[in-house]
Amino acid sequence: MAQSFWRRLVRETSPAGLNSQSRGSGDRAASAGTQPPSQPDPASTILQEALAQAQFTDEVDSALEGYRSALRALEGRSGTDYRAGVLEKAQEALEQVPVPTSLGAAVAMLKELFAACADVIFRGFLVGGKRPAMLLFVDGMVNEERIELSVLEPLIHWGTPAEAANGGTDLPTWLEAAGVTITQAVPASTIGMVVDAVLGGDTVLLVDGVNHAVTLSSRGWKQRAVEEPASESAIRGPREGFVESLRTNTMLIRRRLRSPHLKIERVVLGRRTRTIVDIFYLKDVTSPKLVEEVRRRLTRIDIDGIIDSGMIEELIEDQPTSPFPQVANTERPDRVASALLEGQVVIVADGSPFALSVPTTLWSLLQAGEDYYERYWIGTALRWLRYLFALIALVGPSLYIAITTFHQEMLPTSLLLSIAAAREGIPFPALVEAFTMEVFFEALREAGVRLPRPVGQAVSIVGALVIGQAAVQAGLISAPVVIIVAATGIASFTFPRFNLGVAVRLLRFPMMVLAGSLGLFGIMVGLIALLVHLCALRSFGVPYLKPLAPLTWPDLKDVLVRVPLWLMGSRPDVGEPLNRRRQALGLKPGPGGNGS
Amino acid sequence: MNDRQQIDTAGLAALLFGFLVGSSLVLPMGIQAKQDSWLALLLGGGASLAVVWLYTALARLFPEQSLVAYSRILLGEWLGRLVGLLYLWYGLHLGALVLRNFGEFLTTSLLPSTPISVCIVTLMLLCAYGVRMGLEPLARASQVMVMLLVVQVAFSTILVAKDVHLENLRPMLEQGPVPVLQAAFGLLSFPFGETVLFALLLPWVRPVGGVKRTVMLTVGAAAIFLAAVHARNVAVLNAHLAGTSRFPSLVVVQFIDVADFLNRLDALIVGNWIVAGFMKVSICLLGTATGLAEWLGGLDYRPLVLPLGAIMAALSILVYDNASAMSAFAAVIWPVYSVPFQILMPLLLLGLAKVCGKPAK
Repeated sequence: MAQSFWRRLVRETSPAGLNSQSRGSGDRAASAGTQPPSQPDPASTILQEALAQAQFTDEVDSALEGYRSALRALEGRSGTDYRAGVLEKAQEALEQVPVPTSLGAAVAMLKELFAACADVIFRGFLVGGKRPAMLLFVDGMVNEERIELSVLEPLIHWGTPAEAANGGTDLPTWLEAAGVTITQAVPASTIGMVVDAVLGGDTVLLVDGVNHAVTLSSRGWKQRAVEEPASESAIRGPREGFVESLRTNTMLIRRRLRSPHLKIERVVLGRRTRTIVDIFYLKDVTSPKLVEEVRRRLTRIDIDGIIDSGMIEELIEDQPTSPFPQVANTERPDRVASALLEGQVVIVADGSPFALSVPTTLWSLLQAGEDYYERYWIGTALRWLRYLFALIALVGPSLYIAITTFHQEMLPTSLLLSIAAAREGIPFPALVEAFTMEVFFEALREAGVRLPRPVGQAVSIVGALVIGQAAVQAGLISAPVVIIVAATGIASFTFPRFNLGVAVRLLRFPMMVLAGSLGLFGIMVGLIALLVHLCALRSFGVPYLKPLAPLTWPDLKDVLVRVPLWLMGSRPDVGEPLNRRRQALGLKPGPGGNGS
Repeated sequence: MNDRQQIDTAGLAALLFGFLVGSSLVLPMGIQAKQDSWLALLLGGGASLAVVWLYTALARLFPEQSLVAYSRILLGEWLGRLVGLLYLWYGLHLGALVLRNFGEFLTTSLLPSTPISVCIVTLMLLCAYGVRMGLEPLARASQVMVMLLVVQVAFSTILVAKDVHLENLRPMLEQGPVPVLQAAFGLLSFPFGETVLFALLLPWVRPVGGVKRTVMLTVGAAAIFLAAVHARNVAVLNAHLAGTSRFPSLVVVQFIDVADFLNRLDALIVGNWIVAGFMKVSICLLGTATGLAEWLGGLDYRPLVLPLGAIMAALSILVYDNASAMSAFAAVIWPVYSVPFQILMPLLLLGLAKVCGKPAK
């Protein structure tokens, strides 16, 4: 019975433009005029009358008129920048208007805003068969079944027509009475709030004679499943990675930190993308000054759109001209959780599977989550391996160039002889040789990343065979250079963070030029300049080389070595955490009861 | 004063240690004393504590003020300005000498066919970059570099232990105490007395109360460290060779040979030398630039760095005709030339301050 009534309602009201895709008020009037419903039904008549008898207050009228004239003006040919500005102002004015009591007026305004938005659905119906109402949502972003069963059905069948017609003006009370079983129902008082809710995937309910709307949570869009993060894989540790949906990401973090002190603040960035950005911190650990600084830097951003968290990163750095990343990014919720426990602030943007954490230091960018999950001997060894190879990635080819060009006497004689033999007949100086090979290697790597997978294999074969073997056999490139380039390539892949690896890879090239022109002196000049730069660098006020410079002895426990967990008594002093002690003393386990 | 310009006492210690130890580690020191050079170093270092006491006492009397500022208070506007200017010249001159010395090392041992001006200008540009970054990054970089320096010395000492012949250090005081005292006096002016330049930088150290203690301890530690290194050099090489070779530490490191593979570790000393040159020239340049900015009436010092650096580089190229002139100047003229700057002037200023009582702000 109920179902059939509802279907009839849909069928018969839709030609009148009530359930159609919105196309602006003028079109709607026209289509309503040319295609009148064949059988005047009481329900649709009431609805149409309600819409036709829109009572426009002065405020609504002027806002609407301003918006329309701004839209018309936009069609002019010159001065579009200025006109776009006018339109923006008119839109803001329109969104400031409170939801009018008259349903007709509200719908007219919303249709004006959503003109030619094929995916915005206006669904008209009668509450209790008497009172005109309208549901607004974006097709595809909502769970339609839920709207159907928990909103439309109870409202349409609610009470008697008289009750509906004379009912109160407070929507939440109504919903309560009607038995609408949607978990989140929040009143919205302005047109702007309605627009935000609709575009955010909520459904908005407007009822005639009520001066506010209600947003009903009904999000249900398609999203990628939680998978193992592609950019940071681990042998041991959680395999979950962030996805593009903010809600899923907050869930992944909240599930790891089930503390009410985990606070999540929300800002909306991007004038047009209106990207939701959440700021995470632990109220009882993170320094309030740091949180305030993050808030200040984020709210300063006024930009068209935030497509990925990388764009936020670029707008909140301390030293934008540095090649080094000053904001850490990660796809792993476990890393985020441990960053939060160290007193850092984490920023997660909707639509991006990369969370940002600040402040960061060079050392934390050289750490992997796995360092803490495996035995500490392994963690320490891996860390030193990374430091060593970071250095090789930076100066490997330059050392080769410097020594073969300027300081041959520094090599043991037998090694010198074999290198000299290999270089005999090579037409290029060592600098040109190594530089060319490094550039080719970078190209190979880039091609491997960008190409579709099946083609990628071909690239590596070409790279290995043609560049590696043929060039040596042809006598164009010496074999030691190929070895050096390969070693540097491997070294540059040992960076746990891609962006730090790229920074070091880029710095390798000026180092090679310095080595080729000034030998070891040039390398030292480059290294000292780099050291001074790193010493001057800060991430949200925290020195980038901390705890090495400035020297903080207790924190070296997690930089030079990875001490056993039972010795990690204090939080690292990065970002001035509120309480330094993070675990009990005497956690060292042993036989016969744990600890001393 | 922006916070980038403040350093803590650990930073001061690193800068001072680097300033003292850097080049002295590589050059022969106290050669008149032959095998007793380590004793001369200890004596010179001990005596220099008195000199150090002079300018740190002044720094305590005039907290947060540099020599340029308090000489004007003590000597009056014009005379004080003149003294300030003389110290700026001293910093500039010292920087130029170090640059030249450094350039000579590079062209003789590392880059024989590179013109010396290229080496000098490159190092000057590096120092100017460091100085423009500010005192704080410079102090932090020094911390790292000093740590590496100490590790390098420990490492090379262990590897060369098989060649240490302690009998080279005997007999002690072979020709009486006179040569040792002479050598100690020379060492008082170089390297220890040169730390008077820090009178231009001390106002940026916090907390003010820790300055004196830090400077004294650091100078003492540097003296002991240098004495140990030079004793090692003599023990490995013998007194004659250690005195006549231009870079004894370089020769010592060339003795290292582990399993026919770990040899020719000259790069360690080269790196050490370049780091040392950088630290010393940067401190001279920073002291001169900040002093000049203050002398001119509290300007930002950064725009002055490159012009001063250019003058310093030009001066270092013009100041000597050749390497022998450099050695002669360093051996004969420099100790005498330094006395007024390192001892007389601070003594005069401190005496005035004590006599006149602490002046009103």
